[in-house]
Amino acid sequence: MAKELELGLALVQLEDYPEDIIEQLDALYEEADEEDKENFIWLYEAASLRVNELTDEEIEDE
Amino acid sequence: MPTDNAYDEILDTLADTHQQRLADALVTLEERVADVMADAPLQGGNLFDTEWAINARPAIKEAMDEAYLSQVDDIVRGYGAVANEAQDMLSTYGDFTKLDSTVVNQLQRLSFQGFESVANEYLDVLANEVYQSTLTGRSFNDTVKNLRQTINGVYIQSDDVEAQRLVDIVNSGSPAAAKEAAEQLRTKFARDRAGNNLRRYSTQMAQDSLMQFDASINTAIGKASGATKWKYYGDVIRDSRPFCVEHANQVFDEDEIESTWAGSWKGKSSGDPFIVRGGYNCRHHWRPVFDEEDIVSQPEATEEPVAVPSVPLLLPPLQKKKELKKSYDERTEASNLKGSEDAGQRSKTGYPVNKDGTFAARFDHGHTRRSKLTRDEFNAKQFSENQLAGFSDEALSLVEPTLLETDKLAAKYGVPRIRTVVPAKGKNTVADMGDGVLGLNKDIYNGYGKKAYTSQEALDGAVNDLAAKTKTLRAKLDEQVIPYLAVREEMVEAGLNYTPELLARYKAEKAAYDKTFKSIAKSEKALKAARRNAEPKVASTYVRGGNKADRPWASGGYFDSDADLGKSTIFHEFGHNVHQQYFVTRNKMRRPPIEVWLDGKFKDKPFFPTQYSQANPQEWWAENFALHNMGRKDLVDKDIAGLLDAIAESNGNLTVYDGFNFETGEYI
Repeated sequence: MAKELELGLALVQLEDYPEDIIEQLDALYEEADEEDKENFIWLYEAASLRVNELTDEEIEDE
Repeated sequence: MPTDNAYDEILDTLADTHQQRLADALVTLEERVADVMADAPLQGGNLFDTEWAINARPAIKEAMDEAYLSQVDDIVRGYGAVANEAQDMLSTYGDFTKLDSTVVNQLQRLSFQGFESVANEYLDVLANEVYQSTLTGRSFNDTVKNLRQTINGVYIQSDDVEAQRLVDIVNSGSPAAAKEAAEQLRTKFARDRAGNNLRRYSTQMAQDSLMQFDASINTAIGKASGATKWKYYGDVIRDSRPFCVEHANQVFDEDEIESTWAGSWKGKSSGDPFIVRGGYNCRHHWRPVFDEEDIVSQPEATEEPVAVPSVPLLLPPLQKKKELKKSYDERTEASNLKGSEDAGQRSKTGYPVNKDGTFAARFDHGHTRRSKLTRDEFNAKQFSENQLAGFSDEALSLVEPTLLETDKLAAKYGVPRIRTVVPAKGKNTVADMGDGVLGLNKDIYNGYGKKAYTSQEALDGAVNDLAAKTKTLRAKLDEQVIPYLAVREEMVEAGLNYTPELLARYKAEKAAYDKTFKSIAKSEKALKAARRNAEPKVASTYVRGGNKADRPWASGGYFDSDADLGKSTIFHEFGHNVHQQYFVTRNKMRRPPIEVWLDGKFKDKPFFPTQYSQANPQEWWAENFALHNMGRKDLVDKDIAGLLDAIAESNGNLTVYDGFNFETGEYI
């Protein structure tokens, strides 16, 4: 597995995501080979489930 | 399934293609090395700066890695498809043991290491040439010519029109014309072969590496299947060795092979006769033969069952977006859009609603204040309106039948249907799913659509066009490099006393050179992408119990068409809808029962069918869900397969399974 994919996978496996997880993924994505980028885009999908989840406050506002 | 003769043709064509690809890569390498040299400090046209010469090595290595080894890597990765073809060919003649993917992987690694070792050897030769020429103050032009010849020998790129024409004939002409052109280059242009050059090794290795890989695969399969007789087959052509002509298409047992191959003949190479066959550049092969070959027999299986074939998606008819929009909108307006009237109800017949009757949301769908809508208003729009702008006719044609299939899955697993299709939220996100809204990356899906509906001929045509464009640009760069280096040298000689006219000329030549150089890089990148597009997609042959490193990255890697790749991605996303919605009420939206169950199972080190399925419990579920519904149950984790089957059998009403209550989200 390419280094960037390995690091990206480790990032999305974290229990607590860093606030800048998307920026960190962006940095790895830029470093990745073109072929690996086709796989790397899945890591954004993994992160999106948690990154886009509404907070308690936002839910209360509904 | 190909016969041995058809397979022979496939291999020959592939060997020719690999040789051409490496020849192209070496032209690029030659230009890259010349470009490294263009930065060398000069005194009176000679090299002098040894410190610069030492530092040139990493730049040459980078060029070697990017221009040459990356191409080798591409080629060797393609050997996996050869292994599949070999297995297919052999199955024409009987039932053979399926080769472990670990062995294929190891053979690929060995093949790459062979090329890598030659590349490293030539890196040393090139770097030493630069350093020694600098140390002795050799002329820049002579050094560059030597470096070019070290890479491509007699076939170096040239600024002489006639010489370049001959090089082109050598590269692309018929064998006879190429031979004559090479001869003229040696005599008329006094280009010697400059010893053993990288091109010479590469051309031979491209052929021998592929044929030896094929030989190893066939021999391993045959021996594992208990074969004792072998057919030596392949075309007999003008250049075939007399030894091969004499023995082609004959069947030998192993003792006969040993005694026959003990002799000597011109071009024989040492080693195992099964691997080296007739010798260097030999295009003959072995295949195992059983006496009952011509009888249709069904010997007992000798290994684990092979992968269940996937369910391919037939290419749907291509429709205009206008016609498709109607279909998309009709299904969006269907009854499943209704929310459960009581916020406490499960969402089997619809998505959860708030107490005020608006749809409840778990995810942010991109609401901003700039929209001038409240979050509820914004979400209501997301939940009821497709956003298809920017999706191509091809992408929408491809996605529509898959959406209809997910409607059936919704009924099967007792969850609401996908509500709408919108662009994925992140620019690099392949797809996303939340609250029944399916996000798809426009660029990626338009790409799947384009490739699915484009003929192989057109894809190959794009490769040829870009290859021709790149070649033209390289020729242009060759013309530009001479005046550029000349004026650069004038600037160095002038020191601080350059005239405005000289400076202007230098800037103009440099700008023109840089522009062409950038265009080449852009064109090469497009060419690489076009080549990837044109290459047939090869499905992973990983089977449960195989080497985990051979698993594809994502579930789409198990399918060999872009149409199926797009479909498995949408099934994966719909899998998220299942864990997000099964028995979900508003109060359980953020902690759905299936997700509680998944967290527990994920910690028990389950079976991961893809690399990506290791990301987290939800992705593990979605990957397994996609494979389960794409006809690859053999690759699905047993716990997930059991639960999915049980839910389906209960028509989406399963409450308790494996000691877990999916209504309350707790273990009993």
